Amino acid sequence: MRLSRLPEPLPRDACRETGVLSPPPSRGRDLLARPCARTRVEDPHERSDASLRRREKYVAAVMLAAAISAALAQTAWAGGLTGDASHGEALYEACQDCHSLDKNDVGPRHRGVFGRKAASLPDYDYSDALKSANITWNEETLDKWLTDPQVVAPGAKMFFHLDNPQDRADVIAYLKERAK
Amino acid sequence: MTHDHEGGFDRRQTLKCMLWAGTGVVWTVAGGVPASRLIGSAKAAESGFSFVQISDSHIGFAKPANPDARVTLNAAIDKIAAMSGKPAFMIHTGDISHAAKANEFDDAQQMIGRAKLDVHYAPGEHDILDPKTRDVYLERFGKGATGGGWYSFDQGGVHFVSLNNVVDLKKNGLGSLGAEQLEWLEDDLKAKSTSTPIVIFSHIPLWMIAPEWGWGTEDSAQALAYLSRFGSVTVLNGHIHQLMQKVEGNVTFHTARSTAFPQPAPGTAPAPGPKLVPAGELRKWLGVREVVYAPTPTNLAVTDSDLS
Repeated sequence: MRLSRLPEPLPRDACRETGVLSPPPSRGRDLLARPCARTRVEDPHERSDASLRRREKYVAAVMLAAAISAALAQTAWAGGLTGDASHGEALYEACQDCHSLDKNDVGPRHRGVFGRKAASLPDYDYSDALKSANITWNEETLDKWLTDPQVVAPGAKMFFHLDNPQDRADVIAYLKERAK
Repeated sequence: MTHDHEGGFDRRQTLKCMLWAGTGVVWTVAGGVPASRLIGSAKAAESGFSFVQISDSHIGFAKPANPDARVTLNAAIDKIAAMSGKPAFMIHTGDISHAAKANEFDDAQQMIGRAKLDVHYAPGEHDILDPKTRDVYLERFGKGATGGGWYSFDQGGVHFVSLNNVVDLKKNGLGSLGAEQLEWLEDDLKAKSTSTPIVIFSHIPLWMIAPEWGWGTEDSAQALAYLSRFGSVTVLNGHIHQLMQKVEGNVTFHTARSTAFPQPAPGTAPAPGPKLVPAGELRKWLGVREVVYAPTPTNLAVTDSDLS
């Protein structure tokens, strides 16, 4: 499952071509849900063209800001990729050479790893390298870790790495969404 | 000068292919040349001896790729125990356990013991995870070995060397032997004549199969340099859970299958690791496969010796 994206607004030109205008921006949420109304409201007191253009610009600016904010919240790590948790789960098969979700193995258990401080499980014997790394696992730190753990914490036990950024994003999405 | 010729083939017969059945392979040594044969179907060499190699038993592994690695190790031991010609001994090329736990080693040794053979081990990186587990491993398996767990022995005119290349892993998990072990190896081989067949075994392959996956040994070239003067060198490894072979000069390299789970071939997956295969097909991936073995008489081994 891919992380959800905001619904795409109709292109501005499309609105113009159909003569359909957005309603007044009474609530930001409505703007996102209904970026472009499908029926024209007949108004005997129709506003001037200049007023409409200002309103249209305002709506577009609000929508753009909301989209950027949401995108940053979802993909705010170095790779900037949206992960596919389902593919990540398939890739996780390889991780099981050393890891499980619920049991310490060669490596520590993974359930709840997203958001956890590195080397913080009391019942796993971490390397000194990871103990002193002062990392909290999020999209960015996991992406770096999966790129080459020995760069992040030289002397760590792990050597496994994923070269493809999308693969890393997918595994991270799996850990974040399905290994809570 | 010696020129060995026996049974219609030159000493420097090479292993063209290997025959596997179940989860083990038998090595037959005749006229100083290790060759493999199908477990349970072939007779021991008339004038030589045979030994068995198993690898990567990963006792303790219980995940989708193999819900219980003990079951498949037991299947391998059953095959070996049922052999008509008793092998002289067994070698295990590492990853005996999955997580270097005492109970995993206990289980493995109990199961392997059913074969009633002397067993010579080489450690895998799952057997030695850190300094603590290294000490535990050496305490259990290192009797008679040097401090680092490497050792050699002779059997039937063949010199066997067990190396440890899993302690100081390098980039991407590449194995390494280290200066101390290399120095020991050079010294160990000094007393051997060039006509002595050499069998080297270790966990991580001593040839670069896929360095991006850590499937190779960083400083193996130095070890191979020490071996270059010998007419017959056979290198047996595990780690990659699949069969691969290579001939380079007088050296033949072979990797073994696991008794626990397969791994992908290099370049066919984003990363190494347990490979999930369809239910009911696991044992096929672990080696229920037949490959034709044929010696090739094309590579002659000419061994020169002085007049003393």
